[in-house]
Amino acid sequence: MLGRRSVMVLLGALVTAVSLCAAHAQTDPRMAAAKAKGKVSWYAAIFPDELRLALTERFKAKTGLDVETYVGGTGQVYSRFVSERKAGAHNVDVLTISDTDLVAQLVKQKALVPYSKAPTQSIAASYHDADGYWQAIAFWACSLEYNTRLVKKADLPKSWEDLIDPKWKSKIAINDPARSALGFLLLKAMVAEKGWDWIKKLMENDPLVIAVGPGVDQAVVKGERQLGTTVSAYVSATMKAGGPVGVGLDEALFASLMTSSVVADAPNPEGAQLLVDFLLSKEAGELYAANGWFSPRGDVPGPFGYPSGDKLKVRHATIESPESRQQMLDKFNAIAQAARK
Amino acid sequence: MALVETRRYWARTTLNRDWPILPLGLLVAAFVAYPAIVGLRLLSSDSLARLSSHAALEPLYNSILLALFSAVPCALIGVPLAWLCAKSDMPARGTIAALVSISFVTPNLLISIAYVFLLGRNSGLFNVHWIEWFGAPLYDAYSFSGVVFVCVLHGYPLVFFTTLAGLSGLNPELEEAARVCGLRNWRVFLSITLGSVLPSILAGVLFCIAESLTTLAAPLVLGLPVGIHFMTTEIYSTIVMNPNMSAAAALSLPLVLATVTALWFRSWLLGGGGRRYMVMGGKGQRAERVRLGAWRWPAFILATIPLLLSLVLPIFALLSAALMDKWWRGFELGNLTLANFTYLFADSTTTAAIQNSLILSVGVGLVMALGGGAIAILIAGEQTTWKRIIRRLCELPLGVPHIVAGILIILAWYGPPFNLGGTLWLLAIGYVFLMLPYAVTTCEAARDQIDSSLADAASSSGLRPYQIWIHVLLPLMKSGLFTTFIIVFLFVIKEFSLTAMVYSAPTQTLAVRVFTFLDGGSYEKTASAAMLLLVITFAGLFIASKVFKISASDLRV
Repeated sequence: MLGRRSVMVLLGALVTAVSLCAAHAQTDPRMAAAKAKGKVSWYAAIFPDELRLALTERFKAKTGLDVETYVGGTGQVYSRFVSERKAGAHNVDVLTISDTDLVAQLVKQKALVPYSKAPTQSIAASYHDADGYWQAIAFWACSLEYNTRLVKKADLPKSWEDLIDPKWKSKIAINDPARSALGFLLLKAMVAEKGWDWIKKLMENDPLVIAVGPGVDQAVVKGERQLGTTVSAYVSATMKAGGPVGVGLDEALFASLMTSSVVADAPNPEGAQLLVDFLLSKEAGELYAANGWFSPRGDVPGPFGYPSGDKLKVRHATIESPESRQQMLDKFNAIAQAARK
Repeated sequence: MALVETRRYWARTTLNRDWPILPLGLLVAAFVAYPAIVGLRLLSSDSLARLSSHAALEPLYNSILLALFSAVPCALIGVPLAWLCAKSDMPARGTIAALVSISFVTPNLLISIAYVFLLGRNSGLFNVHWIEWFGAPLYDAYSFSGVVFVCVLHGYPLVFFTTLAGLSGLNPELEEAARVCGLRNWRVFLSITLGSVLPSILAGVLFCIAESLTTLAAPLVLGLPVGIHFMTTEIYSTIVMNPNMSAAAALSLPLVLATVTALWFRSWLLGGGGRRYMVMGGKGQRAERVRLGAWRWPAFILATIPLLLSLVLPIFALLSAALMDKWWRGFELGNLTLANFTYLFADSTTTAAIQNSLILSVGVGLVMALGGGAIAILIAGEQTTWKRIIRRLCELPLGVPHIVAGILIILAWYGPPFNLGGTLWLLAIGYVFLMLPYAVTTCEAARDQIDSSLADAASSSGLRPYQIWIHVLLPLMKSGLFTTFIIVFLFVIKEFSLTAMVYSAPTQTLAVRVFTFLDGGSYEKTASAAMLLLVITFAGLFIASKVFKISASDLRV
């Protein structure tokens, strides 16, 4: 049992620590400027709702700054951001999306500014842009999910290419490449590895092609389809909740970074930097992990059901393609339409 | 009294002059032509070339088929149902009319999701049992017919509303005269009633066609997963992930053209052939209801079938999901919870969204009812070039998919010089853009049914034109104006395609909240927010009926 004195000492230490943290926050020269400019505007492809709320509330508790969020899928957030800039509106401070190709396009358009002093000491170099245009705050992996009630572990595909095996005909769900980051990256990875003939055979296997990201996980957990190619965060959350799903292959097909960038002409650039700092912190990293995402930080464990980020086996570290996004999507649509006939 | 005579009255009025039309023209141009011009400026030869590619033809073909296949069942359900509620002694007709209005407000997206819950090929609630018993699914919602089915469930209330408004304003004398002459009820319905309310029915069918052509939810949820592409899904894919506004604008052109063609066809149909229609007497006559006799209860059972499919089953599916901790666990006692609802009320984002939804739906509803009424009156009479231009402008947004409208609104109004980004005004302008055709068409239908003798009598009594509008015409259009308000209210409160493109953090609406929950993978919260949306709508209708002292059956929606 702790004595009264020990309790007092502990309380004193706690108060001192909190005060020091607060003092550090208050002494950050960016804080006054950020507060003078008011709220921070964050456009983010970040789910679930609880994670967004936890992040913005803790950031406010630390800095006193309110965060206004616009939340959607990566495509929706990107589209909205581009449309607004086209209309001459510059209301966004921080942009968080899950597609580095799109981020590269924004860099070309000079819509982002480098933030080279971001606190990335605990994060491997591959998780941030050398020029500082983006920092990965979290990432997800493309997992093969299966319904444990409908498929025995022994019957699972042995590798990603086995998805074209006719025994999985009408039993697979995938994300639509034209509407989902995972869907497009899967297309890109498998074309790079196996060519378009593999895609043709996959489409002849009559997969359910779902537009919204979490739809595949929902289709698998309900048994609408037995296998699904989906975002690790959704599989992790469903497994954590006791859902009848598992990870079908130890090896993820690829990982996709969830990057945060400071926006050019941001109304509150100091606030933007403070938010990015917080999103890279261990505290935020633990929140990502608790909600199914991998943190790029070595000091944060992996999400439920997965190893930590640095131990995750990923088949494609980078995916290169000589074809443009539109060319690939047009080809995919033609193959899908032909397969349907 | 004939519609042609009514039109002659409007032709005689001082409204033929163009001077009141000019400010109106400018206003309509600001709301419609300006964003449309912004959209046209996006077009390029490359984007137009996509239109002729094989990849665009199949989606166009599917969209046209969807619109045609949906419109016919909508009319077959909406017209008899409206007649049963307005003209017959069917039991619970007032309740049925009110439930149709609730059914209309159920977002198409949620009906689509509900039918995935119920009739997904392998996991749908019904199919799971059906497969156990018979070895094959009862019905696969993931199909072209599944998309048509959901569009019909969403569209038939539009025909119902407009037909009910037409029937409620019908002078009963002709029907009674026909009965006195020995015509049976069904002959009276086919020969007299149906012909008299044809403008209203066509207006409703037109709404259905426009709605089916531009709908995104059902094609996205039920068609696309099995490789059936529609124009709206193609437009959606050009906007999300790889935004190409120019391609989106080009792909929207066929939809705009198809809708405008349908509108011209309707005008031609109603304008030619010397058709004569019964119109509102304005004398408060109340016809005796048709006695159905032994058919009362069979009629009631038939009338409940569309409601069962469009309202009861989807609500059952949504409510079940909303009350579950994890919907995939199904009906287990330990899985039941109210946490999804308490989360909504504890969440300040959701409570702010509710407030925004109410402000916008009531505000835009009022503006559109009064504005639509004013436009309908001002563009009546002899059709000058200006009036034709204004009418066409008002109809134009019907063919613009809501997501494209969202882009146009952002490009036109978000940034300089107007700087409306982040305000409710931006959303309100977007809704006015979308709702203008519905408001004007509904108000015009109400205007065309006014008996010219009343205005003539008022004019003979020495009333000036503006006094005639205020004391005679607008009060007689009250039913049409209220219908407009309700339609706009119901439409705005559930709209999410445009809203999702236009809203900012402080202007989030409840419908968008539903969508963000869905995008985040929480079907339980999606369902609870959807239920809340439905309850608020129902409460809104209830309060309106209490404030205006109007019962559900008198709402005529």
